Amino acid sequence: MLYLAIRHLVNRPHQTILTFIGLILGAAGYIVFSGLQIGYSDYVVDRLVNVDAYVRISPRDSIINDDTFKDIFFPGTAVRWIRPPSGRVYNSYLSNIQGWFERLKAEPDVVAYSPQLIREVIFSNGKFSYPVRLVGINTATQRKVTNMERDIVEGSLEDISRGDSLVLIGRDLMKRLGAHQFGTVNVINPDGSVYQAKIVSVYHTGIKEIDYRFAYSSLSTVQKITRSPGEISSIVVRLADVNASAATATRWQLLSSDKVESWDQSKEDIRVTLKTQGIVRNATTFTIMLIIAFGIYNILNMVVNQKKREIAILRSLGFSERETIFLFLVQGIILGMGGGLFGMLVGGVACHYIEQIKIGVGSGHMPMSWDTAIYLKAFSIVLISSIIASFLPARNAGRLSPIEIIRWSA
Amino acid sequence: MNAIDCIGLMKSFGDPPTEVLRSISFSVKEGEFVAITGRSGSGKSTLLYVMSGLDDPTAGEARLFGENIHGLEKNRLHRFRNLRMGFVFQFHYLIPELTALDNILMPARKYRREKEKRPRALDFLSQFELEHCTAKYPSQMSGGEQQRVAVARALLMEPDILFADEPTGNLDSVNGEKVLRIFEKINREHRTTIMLVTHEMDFAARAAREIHLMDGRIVYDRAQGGVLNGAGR
Repeated sequence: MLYLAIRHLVNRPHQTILTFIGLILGAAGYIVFSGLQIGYSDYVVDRLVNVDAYVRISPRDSIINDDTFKDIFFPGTAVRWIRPPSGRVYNSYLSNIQGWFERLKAEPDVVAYSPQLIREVIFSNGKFSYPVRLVGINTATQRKVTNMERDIVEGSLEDISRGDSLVLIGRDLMKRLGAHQFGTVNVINPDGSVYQAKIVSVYHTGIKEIDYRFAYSSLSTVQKITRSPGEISSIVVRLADVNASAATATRWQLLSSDKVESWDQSKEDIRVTLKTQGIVRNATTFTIMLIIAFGIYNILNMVVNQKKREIAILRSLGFSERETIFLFLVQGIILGMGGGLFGMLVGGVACHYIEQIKIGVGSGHMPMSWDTAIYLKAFSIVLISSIIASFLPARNAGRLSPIEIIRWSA
Repeated sequence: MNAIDCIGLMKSFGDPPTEVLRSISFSVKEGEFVAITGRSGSGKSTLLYVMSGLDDPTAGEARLFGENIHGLEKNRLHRFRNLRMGFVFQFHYLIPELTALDNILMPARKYRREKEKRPRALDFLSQFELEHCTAKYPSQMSGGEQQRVAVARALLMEPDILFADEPTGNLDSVNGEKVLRIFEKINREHRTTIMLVTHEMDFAARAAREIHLMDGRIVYDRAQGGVLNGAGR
């Protein structure tokens, strides 16, 4: 039957080639679409995660309400407030830093962690002044947690720990301040005290919210400038699997009163965007499957109608319903496998060329994912659609009564 | 053992039912050449399809070599059809994608015996004056050639019974004669039982036995030797 199935395909070249092209385009289209989408997602996640952290542990500000004073003024008595208490208590300290360090050290999924002190200050130079989030870091551990070194365009991360009051700032912020590398800027604390800091390194992530807002210095410098000796305001953590960030953060949250947030929990808008992209990708996958399935179904259905006489004679020669089904099903499988394989090839070549297109951000080229799973999925989509679509006409062929066909033909 | 035993075969179609076969009973010995004749609508093709198991009877039983053909389990029926029966129809029903040789070899492909049967297929091509058609596709052959290929295909597995439904109905007299000679030869040389449905009296007269139908009933059965068993013509 395989022989006859191949002969069927070979002897209707136009239909076979058209179906084949449809399958190739379906697979290649899926590969290009997914490659671009996943490539972009990976790029965004990489930027966000590697510049910041997979999981951030920071102090939680507490809200004041009725429960805050329960059993304090009138123990054991129900208190009805005429004007309920309200407000918010600012916490700048982590509850148990040493406890966190021990826990993180013992966690097998933790690749690295690093302490930070984050303070809001104002950077000024001449008449220009801008609010900046000054982050005190331990360069030795910070480089294990983030890939921020990759974005340094002048100087190095290590430079900020070579002395006192040395800072790493975004290129955009530096330009905005009218400053330059090795120049000095004023750092103004909320209490009005002013320190001078020297720009030793410059970074550029391409994300304006970061490049304009964040400056880095050694932990000791920030503790000194902001008069917070020995203080640590957060711990950033890198995990083995970025996709496990949210689950891990949720698990740790249950163990402490500190705020534990993964990168995607803290950036809800990005998470929603990525989730929407996933939905669009799945919808596209379904559409591609549907188009492929309809194409194959229509062609094979037509072929079954054209081949009724041959089906009748095959049945009279002793071929079973199952063998008749196989005759048409195998045609769908051959088309699906061939279309899937060539589709992967065409998709790969198309992705290669699209990746060469120059854009102004990131690596300078179109972000493209080369995940093997995309190619395997494209092949599976095409093959599964082909099998499903060819099964229905094949089953109809198997159900045909040979005698009905012979009578009808006569 | 008889090759065929038909016992009270009845077949009706539609609602209200129209009876096409009305309690038909007869037996055919192994190696007999039987012509089934009758006017259009007399039920001869229906009788052929019912007794060969292609169609189900409304009542009655058809036994081939003692086996109730309609009671056979599906796989056994397919095997039986492939190995012990051959069919030739008025329209040749060749597979257009295959050459004459591949068409002849088609029944052997069921059990992957095409290599074993290839010499026999080539022999048929030679015997049936079809050597020049070996690599030709059906569209490149004449009607007579196509029908002879269909006969060769039906005989490839060396069937015990050949069912032929008006195999010469679409052929000119020369090609019709060639097909009938093939039937006579395989009946004589291989003792293949032949059930030939035809409305051509000349061909029917050359069969050893003729069963004549009218309105779904056997009106006479001319057994070998010319004995009339029915009501006569």
